[in-house]
Amino acid sequence: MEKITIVEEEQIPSNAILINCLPDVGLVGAIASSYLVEKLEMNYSGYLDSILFPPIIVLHKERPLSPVRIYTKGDLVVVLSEIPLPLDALRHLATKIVKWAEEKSVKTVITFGGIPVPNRIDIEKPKVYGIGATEEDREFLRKNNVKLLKEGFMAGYYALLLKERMKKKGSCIALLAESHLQYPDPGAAVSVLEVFSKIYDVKVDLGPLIEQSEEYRIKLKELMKRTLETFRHAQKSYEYTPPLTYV
Amino acid sequence: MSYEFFEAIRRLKKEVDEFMDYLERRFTEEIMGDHAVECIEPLAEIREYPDKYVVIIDLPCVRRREDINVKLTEDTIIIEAQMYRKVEIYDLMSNVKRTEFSSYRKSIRLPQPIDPKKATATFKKGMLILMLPKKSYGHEIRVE
Repeated sequence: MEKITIVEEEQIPSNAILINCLPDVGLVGAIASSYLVEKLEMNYSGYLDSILFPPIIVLHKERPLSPVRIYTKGDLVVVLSEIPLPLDALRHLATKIVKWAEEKSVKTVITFGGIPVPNRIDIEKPKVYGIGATEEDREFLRKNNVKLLKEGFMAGYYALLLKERMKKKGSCIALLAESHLQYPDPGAAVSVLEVFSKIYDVKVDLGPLIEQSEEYRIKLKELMKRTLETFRHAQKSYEYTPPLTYV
Repeated sequence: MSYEFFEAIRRLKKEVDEFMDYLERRFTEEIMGDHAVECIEPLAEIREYPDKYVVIIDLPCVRRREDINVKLTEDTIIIEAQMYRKVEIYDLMSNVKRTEFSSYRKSIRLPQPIDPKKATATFKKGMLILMLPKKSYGHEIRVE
C-alpha cells in the first residue's frame, strides 16, 4: 500500500513542467516556489497527504489546507511544502512524485535549491549551478549557459528525487544557487528564479522579492530553525565533503 | 517515614512544575519573542575553531552599527539590536492576531571562556560577525 496519496481537486495538465520544492538549504526552494505561485497567480489544484506527514494543517484565508499542495497554471505545475517533512516521508514522497510525473507525462521535473557556501556574506550575486539527470538535461543546461556542478555530494530530498527520476530515465533538473545554509536566503531565491525565468521563458517580476528580502528573512526564521533540525538526519553535512573520486 | 515520602513527592512535583513552566516560557519566547518589549530572537550560528569562536547573527532590518549593542563576558554574549522599522508577524498562538517587533535580543553561552578584550565585531549586509579568541586553547609541546 502506498503511504502517500495525491488528491487532485482540479484538472492537472499533461506534458507539464513540474516544479517540486521543500524547505531545505537557506529555504531557497521554498521561497522561490511559493513566490512563483503567488506572482503567477497559480491556481490551487490539490494536495498530498500521508500518515508520515506531521499532523498539521495550514489556514489560508480562513480555509484549512494541507501543508503540501499542488498549484497549476498553463503548463506549469508546482508541488510545494510549507513545512519540513520527516526523513521517513522523503523517500516515499520522491517515489510518489516521480510515479505521478510519469502518469501525467511530465516533460521535466525541476527543483530549486541552495548550495551552502561559507563565504555567502561576501557574495553579491549568488551563482546558479545546474544538475541534470539525463544527458539531454545537461546539454539543455549547457546551451543555456548554466554551469553544471561537476563534483560533490547532494543530500536530502532533492538527491532522492534526482535518483528516482534517473531510475526511470526521466528528465529532471536541479537549479541550485550559492546560499546561506542556516539563514533564509531570498537573494539566492532571486538568482534561481532569474535563471528559471530565462531558460523556460516564464515572466515573473522579481522586484518585490528583492525589496522585501529583509522581511522574508525575519518571517521565515522559525521555518529555518525547524528545517535545520531535519538536516541532522538527512546527512546534509555531506554537502561540504569532497567525494572519494575527487581526491 | 510516610511524611518524608510525601515530602519527597511534593518536592518532585514542584520541580516538574517549575521545569514545565521553564519549557513553556522558553518555547513561547523563542517562537514569538517577547511581546512586552516588541523583541524577537535572531537566528545565530556559532562556528568553533581551535583558537576562536566565530558567531554570526542574522539581523535583517537593522541598518546602522550604532543600533547594535554587544556585551561580552568570558562565557556569555548578549546581543541587542534595534530595527529601523517595525515588522509585523503572525502571532502563532492566536493565529489571528498580528504582532509587531522592532528589536532583537539574544543571549549565547559559550562552551569555553573567551578573551573579551581581544574580541572584534563587524556588521555586513544585516549580519553581525563576532570574532571571539579563546582565552587559552591548550599548551604546545615539543615533539621529540
